[in-house]
This record gives sequence, C-alpha cells and structure tokens, in this order.
Amino acid sequence: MASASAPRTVRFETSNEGGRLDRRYELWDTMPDGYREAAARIASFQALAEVVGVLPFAEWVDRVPDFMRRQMLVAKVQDEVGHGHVMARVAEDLGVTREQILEDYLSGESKLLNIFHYGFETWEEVGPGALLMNSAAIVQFQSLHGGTYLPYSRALRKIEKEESFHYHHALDLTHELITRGSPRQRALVQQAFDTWLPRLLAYFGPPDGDKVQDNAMYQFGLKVDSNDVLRQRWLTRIIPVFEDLGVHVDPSLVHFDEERGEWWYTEQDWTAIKRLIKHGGPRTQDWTGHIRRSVEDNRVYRDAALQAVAV
Amino acid sequence: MAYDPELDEPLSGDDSASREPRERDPRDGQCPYEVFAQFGGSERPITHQGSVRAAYQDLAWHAAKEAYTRRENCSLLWVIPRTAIVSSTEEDEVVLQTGRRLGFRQPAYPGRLRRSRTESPPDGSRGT
Repeated sequence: MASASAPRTVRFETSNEGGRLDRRYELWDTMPDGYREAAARIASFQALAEVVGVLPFAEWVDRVPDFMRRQMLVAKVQDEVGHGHVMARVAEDLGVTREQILEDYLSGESKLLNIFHYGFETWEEVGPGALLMNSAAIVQFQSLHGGTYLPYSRALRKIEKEESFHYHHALDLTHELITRGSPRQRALVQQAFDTWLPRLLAYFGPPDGDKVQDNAMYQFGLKVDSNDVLRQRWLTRIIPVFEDLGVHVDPSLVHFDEERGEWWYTEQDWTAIKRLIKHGGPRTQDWTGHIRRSVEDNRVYRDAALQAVAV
Repeated sequence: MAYDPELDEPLSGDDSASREPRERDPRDGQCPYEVFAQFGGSERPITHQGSVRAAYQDLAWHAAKEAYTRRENCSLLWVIPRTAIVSSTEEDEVVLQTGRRLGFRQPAYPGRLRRSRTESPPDGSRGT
C-alpha cells in the first residue's frame, strides 16, 4: 500500500494551494472581481435545487402507506423548502431575487443537475433513493461549508443539521423494507439502488481534468473540493452502509481498488448526461410544470403583498 | 370571537383586528429581518441564525419561527429589521483591535520592565 498512499492523499484531502481558502468574506466586505456574482450563482443554484429537489418527495406524501412515514416525509418536505428560503436569502443579499431564480429555471436559463430530472416510481424506491441523495448532499455540504463566503457557510451549517435527520429517516426506511418487506419489496430496493447509484455518481460532476485549478469557483474558494475528491469521500461513506443493509453492490458498478487506494466506478456516459441536463429527463416537465403553476397561482397573493408594502 | 352573519358584525371581543387596517410601521417590509434565537435554556446566549424577508414584522417573526426553530426547543426569538442595526465597518478594524492597541489593558504589561515575582524584599522579610 506504500505506493498507493501518496495518490490517496491527493484524492481525499482538501487542497489549499495558492491559499485560495485563506481569505473569507462577509456580505459587506470588498470582494475580488467576479466573486460576488460567483457567490450569488452558487447560492441561487442551491436555493433552486432545494425547492425542485423536494418535488419527488412531495409527490409521495399522499401515497405513503404508513402514517408515521407520512409524518416523517412531510417533515422532510418542510425542511427542504425551509432550506430553499434560507439559501434564497443568501442569494437575495447578493442581488439575485427569488423571482429571478424561479424565472431562470422556468425559462430554461438555469440548469439543474441530473438527479433533478427524475422521480420515484415506487414507494420502495424512496428509501434507497433518498439515502443515496442525502448522503451525497451531506458530503457536498460538509465540503462547501469550508468555503470562503461566510453567509453561505453559515446557511449550510444550519442545513446540514437537518439533512442528517433526513439521512437517518431514509436509512431507517430502507432497513425496514429490507428486514420486514416482502421478497418483491426487497427486490425493488435492490433495483432502486442499482438505478440511483449511477445517477449519484454523476451528481458530483465529470472526473477532474487537468483544468480543475482553472475553475473560477474553485479559485475563489467557493467550490472547496474537486468532483473526484467528493465522489471518493461519498463512496467511502455510503457503499459500506448499503452492504451492511444487505444490498448487493455489483463490483462491475463500483468497487474499492486496493492497489490504487481509491474507489473504481463504471464510466458514466457524460454525453448522455449533458444532454439530459440540457434537454430534460423523465420528470422534468412535471417539475417545471409544478413550479410554473405554483408561481402563477400565487402571483395574485404575491402582488398584493408587495403592493401593500410599497404603499 | 363570535360572529353573527345576520348582524354582519362581530358580537363580542376586540374587533379592531378585523375592522381597522393595522397601522403600518414605516420599517415594515423595507429590509430583511435578522433572526436571533436562544436555544437550550435561558443561560445560553441569544445567537444570530440568519435572515428572513417578509412584508411585516409579525410575518417576519413567524417566518423566522418556521425557518430557524423547527428542530430545537427555542426559548427566545427576536427579529430585527436590518436597517436598525448599527454596524462596524472595515475602517473600524483598527479601533476594535483593543488587545494590540492598548497594552496597558493586558495582564503582562509593562512587559520587559516588570520585575520578577520571585524577587524578595531587600531586608529578607518575605515569607514572614
């Protein structure tokens, strides 16, 4: 393992080369050129992701087969919308309004990551799907938390605490389905894992190229760790969890490469993923439709409230 | 508050909330509200949680309750219009760095001029 230990350090640890993470900024500090816009972009992207990401779960609220699970799902949905609000405030302070965030989404101007184009086909899919998504989000937020824009870091700290609740609910649900579920339910859990794992592998973005240092977000210290570092950290945490649950992890999909000291995973088709992000997937129309209807239906209340303030 | 549709007005209770428009506080809706909350009992400090935007201060308080106090027991919750805050700026950094600026406020003052505490009085009377 001696020869593998050097690459392992680069793969898993946060790199502060050039001191890009040293200088932190508050809202009122003087920022380098382009920094404010980059911080606004990262915050508004996350605000949108929280709100759209809740829709596959909100859809199941009326169909949860168990009252306790419904309560837990409603709590999760409320939390996510709350996270959207908290993030929207960060973006708003940087000059991007809520209206702008939603309009850019509906016009197709802003693109969400691959997982936001799917939904859950069965109840059995919700547990493992949520477990994969939540663990990935937690790894990502824990990384971004160390970034240079402090209001965003603080918002993430609050969000992280609640995400860990969601993680435990998802873990409990998956465990219940496996230990108490019928053979068909167990098969559906396995199928859900096999379906969602590749999507979450792609969630962290394309493999790091040579140009990872040139990325503006990375240079500003807003993006703290590269895609590969996060993906490796996530796999280290989540694959053993599924193995412990009794889910079969296909080695041809992902396995730990002892020689290289890192996780190997099957190559994702980045052309197809980019096409999905650009043109949409199975549920894109449903989610944009839901947001569009919500914006339209609530316009009268929003206008009234804004008018009352302006008078 | 009882309401009789026949009479078309409330029978009892304070009807000001339903009849007169609430008098507008000029600070309402003009800026975000900063949220401060105290968790874990009254011995703990009230700490800054984030901000909310709302049209009125009452709505801001409820929005803050929803967004920031859903998971833990909160004993105190404040919302304060951001415009009410008087804040230091980058220019104030120097005057706020008391430790570096005012040596005479630090225990080690006056530094190299301080005598050693192990030094005895000249007549050897120390320790009596």
